[in-house]
Amino acid sequence: MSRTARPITVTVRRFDPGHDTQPRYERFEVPSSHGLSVLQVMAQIYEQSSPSLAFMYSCRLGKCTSCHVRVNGKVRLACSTIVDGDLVLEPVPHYAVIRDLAVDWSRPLVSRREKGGA
Amino acid sequence: MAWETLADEVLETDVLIVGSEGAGARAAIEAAEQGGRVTLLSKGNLGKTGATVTGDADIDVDSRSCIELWGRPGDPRDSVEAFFEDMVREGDYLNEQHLVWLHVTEAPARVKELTDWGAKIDMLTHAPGHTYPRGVWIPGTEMMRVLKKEVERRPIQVIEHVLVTDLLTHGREVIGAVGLRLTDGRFCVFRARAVILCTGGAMRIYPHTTAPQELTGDGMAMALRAGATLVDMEFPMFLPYIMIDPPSLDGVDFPYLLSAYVECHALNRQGERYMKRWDPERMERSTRDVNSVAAMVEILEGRGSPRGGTYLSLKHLPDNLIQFTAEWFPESFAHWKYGGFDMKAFIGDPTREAIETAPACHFWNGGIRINERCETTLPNLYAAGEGTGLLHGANRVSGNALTQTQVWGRRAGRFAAEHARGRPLGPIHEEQVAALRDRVFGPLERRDGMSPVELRRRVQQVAWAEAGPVRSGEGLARGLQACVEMRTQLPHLWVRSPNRVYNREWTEAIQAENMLENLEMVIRAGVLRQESRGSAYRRDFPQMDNERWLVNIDLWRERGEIRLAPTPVVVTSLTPPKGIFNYGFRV
Repeated sequence: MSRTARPITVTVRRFDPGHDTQPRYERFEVPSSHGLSVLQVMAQIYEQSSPSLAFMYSCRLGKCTSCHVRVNGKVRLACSTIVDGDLVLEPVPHYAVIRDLAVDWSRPLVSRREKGGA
Repeated sequence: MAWETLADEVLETDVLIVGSEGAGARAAIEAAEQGGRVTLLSKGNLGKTGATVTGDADIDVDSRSCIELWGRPGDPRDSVEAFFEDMVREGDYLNEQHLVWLHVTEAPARVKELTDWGAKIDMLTHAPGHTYPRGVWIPGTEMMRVLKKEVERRPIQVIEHVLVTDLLTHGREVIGAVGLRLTDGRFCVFRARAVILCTGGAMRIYPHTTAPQELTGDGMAMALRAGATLVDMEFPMFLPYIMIDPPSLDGVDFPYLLSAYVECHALNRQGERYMKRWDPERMERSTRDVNSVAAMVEILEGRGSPRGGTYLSLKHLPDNLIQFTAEWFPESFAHWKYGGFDMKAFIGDPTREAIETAPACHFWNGGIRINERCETTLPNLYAAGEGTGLLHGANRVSGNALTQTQVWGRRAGRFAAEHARGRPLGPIHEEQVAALRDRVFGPLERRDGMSPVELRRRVQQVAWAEAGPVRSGEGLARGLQACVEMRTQLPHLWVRSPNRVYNREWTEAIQAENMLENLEMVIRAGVLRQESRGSAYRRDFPQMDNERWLVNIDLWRERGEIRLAPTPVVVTSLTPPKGIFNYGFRV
């Protein structure tokens, strides 16, 4: 079946501002499939490997814009970004990180220099 | 006051509004206009959460008012009376008619307010079920942009990322609520003179839904636990022709939108246009409830597609016509775009291939019983928007969900604020706060047990198999048995990570119980209603029976047991026809 390709490697920035002094990057293997979205990748990691993964989403349909993350360095909607290879997932810059990939949309960072990570 | 030691945070307000989007934001604006302190709680971020922003979307106003208010092309033959009649007829006469009259007569002023506040509107659409064009085109995101701005320029306390878990009561009086701050796990006690629930439906109990992930019926479940009466819970509404594959697009209503604008053929695996057996005159242009029921029967009877749907085809149309569709389609979907998706990658070539689709849960027709003042059956508790019953009857017409948020959100805000004025705060009971706190923290403190993800999946599986648009007595009995079994799992729900900061599994543990409460309500009301009407079809009772079933089924919990009582429908001016009718034929 052409629908299942090789698993992809997903590197996720983990950071809990209340406990951690430094962010760390954790790697996961996720099975790939036709039309797999970044949101599904995050959901699979949460459901199957790392239940503590914090990420935010609501509508899943490209409308509410609450699932913005940095995908391989670029800010993207996780729900409508289709995976085509290995991923590095980080929180969007310029917003306070709640934990891991979840940011507080009501708390934009004052300083543009503080990009919330690497 | 020992209860205060149980709370990490205590807040006092006059009007507490749970749910921040269409109805909640509108209620907050109105309550603030009335004076007094207003607190608006959101499970996510204001303007980025809930069902409103997912609206594609039309907001209904009678066509004549559209001409008068905005000078837009409409049909001058339309009137509020005609809109009223369409709502009641399409609701299969289960709507409470005096609520419908308030709705149609107040709709023009509410939509005018939105445009006065700066909302941009587009063309007027004519959706199935409406005799005249009434759908003023305003995307949910545009509506929320404006409402957010109006909330922010008033003295309204907005608190985001709060999961309200239960209502606080003193006897039957509602005196506040408790909840969890999702960003740090603090347990909050909210004391209020009036509480308004604007929490939406429970569409997420179904695996296929157009609704956002957080629509888990929290408000309806906590109202039930507090002793309120709910009504019409057997009528979750389904939208036909929704994407089911790939899973990342499950819930995308692009094919449904296609079917609304160009003539599509719905086919089973034998290539048969099965709608001819349901509504031979209107076929796929029949109403959404009938299209959903018809598709589900094909799926259940083994005539579906490989992925558990049916086919939606444009292949009978000329290639150049199909290609042109992509150009004149509403701007948001032009060139086969939907949200951030490039649909061409997922629907194949529509000149050659059909799209696999299935019905998906789209709306909650029933909900908390309210009167014209948005009062529930519990003192000090109000409700508005999708989580309330009686307005739409057994089936909602297109575009009326957004209208409901504005007309009824405003009414709730006004009457709750008036009621709150000068009232004392109710006394908090320590043992109640302690029990509600334990319920919240239990799953986090256990050391093993059942995953909330597993329970959520099981709820969704049972809901789809036994309590979808098509049901049977046997299936509903199986579903009820499954609910009883799942209930025994609740004390064993276990959250694997102890982290209190934005712990998704913890949220899911609380939501899973609410989902189960809602599924059980759907099933129990569905068992009682021995006929087929609107969005609920019984294979063992396939006809609409106006002799026995012109009733709204009230549902409440008493000493741990769910009670049901059929109550005659309130009729003011449109008398339902007598007799027994074939399902799907509007009378």
